[in-house]
Amino acid sequence: MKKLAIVTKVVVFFIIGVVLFFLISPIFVPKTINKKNGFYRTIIQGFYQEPENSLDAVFVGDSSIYRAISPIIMWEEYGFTSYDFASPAQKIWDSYYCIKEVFKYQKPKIIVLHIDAAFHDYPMNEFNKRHLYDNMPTSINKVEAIIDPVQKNKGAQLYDLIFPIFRFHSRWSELNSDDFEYAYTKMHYCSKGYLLAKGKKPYKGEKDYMKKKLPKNKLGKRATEYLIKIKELCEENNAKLALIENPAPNVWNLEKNREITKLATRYEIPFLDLNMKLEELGIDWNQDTHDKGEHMNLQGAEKVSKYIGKYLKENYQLPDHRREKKYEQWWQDTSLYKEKIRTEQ
Amino acid sequence: MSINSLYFVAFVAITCILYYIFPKKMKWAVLLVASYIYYFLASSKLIVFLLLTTLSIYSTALILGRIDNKAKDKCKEIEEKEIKKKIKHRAKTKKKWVVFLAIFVNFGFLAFLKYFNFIAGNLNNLFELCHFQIEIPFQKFLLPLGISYYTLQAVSYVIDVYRGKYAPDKNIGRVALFVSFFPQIVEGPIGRYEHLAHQLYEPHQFQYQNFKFGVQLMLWGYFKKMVIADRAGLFVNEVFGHYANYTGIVIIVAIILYTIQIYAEFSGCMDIVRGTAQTMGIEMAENFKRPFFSTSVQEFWRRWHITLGAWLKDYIFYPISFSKLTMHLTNGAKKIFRNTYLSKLIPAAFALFFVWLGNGIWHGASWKYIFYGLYYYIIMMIGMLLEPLSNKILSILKVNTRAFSYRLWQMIRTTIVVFIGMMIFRSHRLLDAWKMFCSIFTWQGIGSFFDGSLFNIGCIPQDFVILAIGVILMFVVGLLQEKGYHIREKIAKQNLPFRWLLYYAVIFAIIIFGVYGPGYAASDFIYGQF
Repeated sequence: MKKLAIVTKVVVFFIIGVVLFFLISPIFVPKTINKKNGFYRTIIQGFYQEPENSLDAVFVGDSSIYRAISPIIMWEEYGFTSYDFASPAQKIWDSYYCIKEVFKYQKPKIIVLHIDAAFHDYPMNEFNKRHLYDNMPTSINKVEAIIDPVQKNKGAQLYDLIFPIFRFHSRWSELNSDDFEYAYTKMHYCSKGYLLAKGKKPYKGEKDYMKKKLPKNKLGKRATEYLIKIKELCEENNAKLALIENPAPNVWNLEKNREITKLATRYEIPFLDLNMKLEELGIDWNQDTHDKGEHMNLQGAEKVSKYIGKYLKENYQLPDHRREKKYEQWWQDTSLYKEKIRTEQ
Repeated sequence: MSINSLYFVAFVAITCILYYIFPKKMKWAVLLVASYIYYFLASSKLIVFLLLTTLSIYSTALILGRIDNKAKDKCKEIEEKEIKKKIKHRAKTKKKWVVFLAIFVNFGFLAFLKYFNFIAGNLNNLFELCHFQIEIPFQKFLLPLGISYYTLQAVSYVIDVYRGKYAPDKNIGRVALFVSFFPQIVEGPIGRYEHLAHQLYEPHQFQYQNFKFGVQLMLWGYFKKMVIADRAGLFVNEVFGHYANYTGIVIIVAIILYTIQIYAEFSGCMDIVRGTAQTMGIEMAENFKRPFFSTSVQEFWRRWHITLGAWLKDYIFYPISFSKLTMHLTNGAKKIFRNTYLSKLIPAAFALFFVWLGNGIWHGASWKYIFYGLYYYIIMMIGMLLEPLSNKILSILKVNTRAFSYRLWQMIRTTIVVFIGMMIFRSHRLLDAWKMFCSIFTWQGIGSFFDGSLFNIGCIPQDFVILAIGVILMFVVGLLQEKGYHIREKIAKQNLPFRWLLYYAVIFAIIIFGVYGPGYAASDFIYGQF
């Protein structure tokens, strides 16, 4: 009996300790919820605020996704629901774990993966890892993603990615009201993952950038492995997979296009390279980019979103929910989104 | 695997679980395997030195025992006293050579690896001075983890066997465990065979109280190390690293904070080590007994790094005190000074010189450490020399030496002496220590205290708040212990909600306010380098 009492005591003490630990930890994680810090937390956490099984399409990948694809525009134009579940400099293996996360909460008909990262075989830097994983709820999938050897997380970085308080405890002296307010509040994101950029900084490079040479034109070995895993994962979850490359004059060329086309043909995955459709899209590099061709601005994003929306609607028979009562929230979000566009600098 | 890493905590937890799961006969083996794994992870192939030390002291002790037994057997067969004496004398000489060889080999490893470059550097300087065209090249030796600690521990075992304090141990596992027990190998305490070896070897049943008290002690140690010591280190590292940029009050604060840092760190480490051992029912020697309540430097060193002091006393002070040379010196002193205080002081001073020289050398291969040891020697000698005079003055002035105010004065005086010692200890070179000491007397920088810039040196003002709370807490705990309170037992008597709140408060204080990780550059344990 005494032994049982001791074991019970130790177990209860441990459980309370763990609960307290997980309650306190989120306070210390930096809240990237405004323009100054970036909206990375808002993008990731906003995904989890979408009602279960309410999304028809999910876009996964790096910043080219959340800067170029606006789910609200596609909603307005074509009536299907989608979300940009993306983070800065995301690699293919990170996308794999993100897609696993998607299937836990949603049953999308299609997953659209931004493919530029297939040429990268090295992990994200710590900050970008944190923008994604610190804002993801704790789960076995998240732990698997962090401990995956491909991430090259070693030593302290391994456990402080799983338990971010060990990384950010030194923020105790700079905590503010946001840290407490948004520690437990998951934010609903009216833009559905799209990150607005209104500025204009023209791309002044070669017009026919597809012909230029780039230093890295070889597909990453591990990235390719994970791409195959993504394909299998989508099949298991009855979702289609499509690859996409958004207009990116600085990092894309014809050689890359060929490499991906070869890969996509081999594994029978549709591939849409928007760099080959610039005229159809009507991209004007003096007007449509906010950082000299790295990413689209709002104007560019509207063009890309309309094109992709049409492509998905036509090729994947995505439903139109615009008149469904269940999706009223999307109209409210549309209003908020428009307000945001109007007010944000 | 640093002792303040999560890996160490996990390692202790796994070892502890295995220790209690394994059958009685195998428990010691769990500790031995864990200790060797720990050592291998920290030092990889340098584990060879640990093995060599273990094998050398094990075999030396057995040889010593055999020589003794042979001599005894021979003596049994012979009745003539003279021959018996001769046999015993011969055995003693043999033993002397054997033990000398073991000490030579073990201190040889230590001296070669730790002091080679220091000796080479000094010899090179000497050669240059004498215009000799010789230069001994410096070597890049990796120092095996804890070599300064385990060598002293190992050597104490062979000397004790030589002295006949106990019989040689035939069980190599027990000897190996005594030398390598993982919690203590990095920073001690320097254990003694008769106290530790049997405890490590004998199986211990799980006792909740032991386990609980052990974990509590570990937590307190982590608090001292990570919240207090490493926080003080932020300021200390900046000032000692760029001392030329600072003067007066800033230097004084840095010296005080370094003293706090090294105490919180070393005693904190000892708490972690002793706590770890206690979770498995093993009681390790205490290394600190509130040293800042000492009223003299001698007392300070009886309360600070106790096991090192005890080792130096037993294996340097006593042998030298009872050596023929000291006997001659005593007789000589008596002839010159008759039976005065001075005649007693001279032989003690002679033996103590080697103790403090040894203390200095042990701490590191640098003149600064040698001076550090001799600094205490000089202070003690001055104190001892002036003792009759000071006693006379005190009696003339009718000073009540039992009054608290007098004891407080003694404590402050001792602490100031320790501060200066710590300044020498922390400085990069002896010359830096001297320059820092001189810069104190410019009495500049008081303004930095009032305009707040002092609190932004290497850290932020909030760090000083945490530091102040930590130091007050450490002082209160020390004061209560000094008054004879057994704090852990007192806590055990409190109601469960209070106890648990206290435990969680300490755990989360360590997690949140601990100085570790990329946000800070967590410092290694200072004493681990010796």
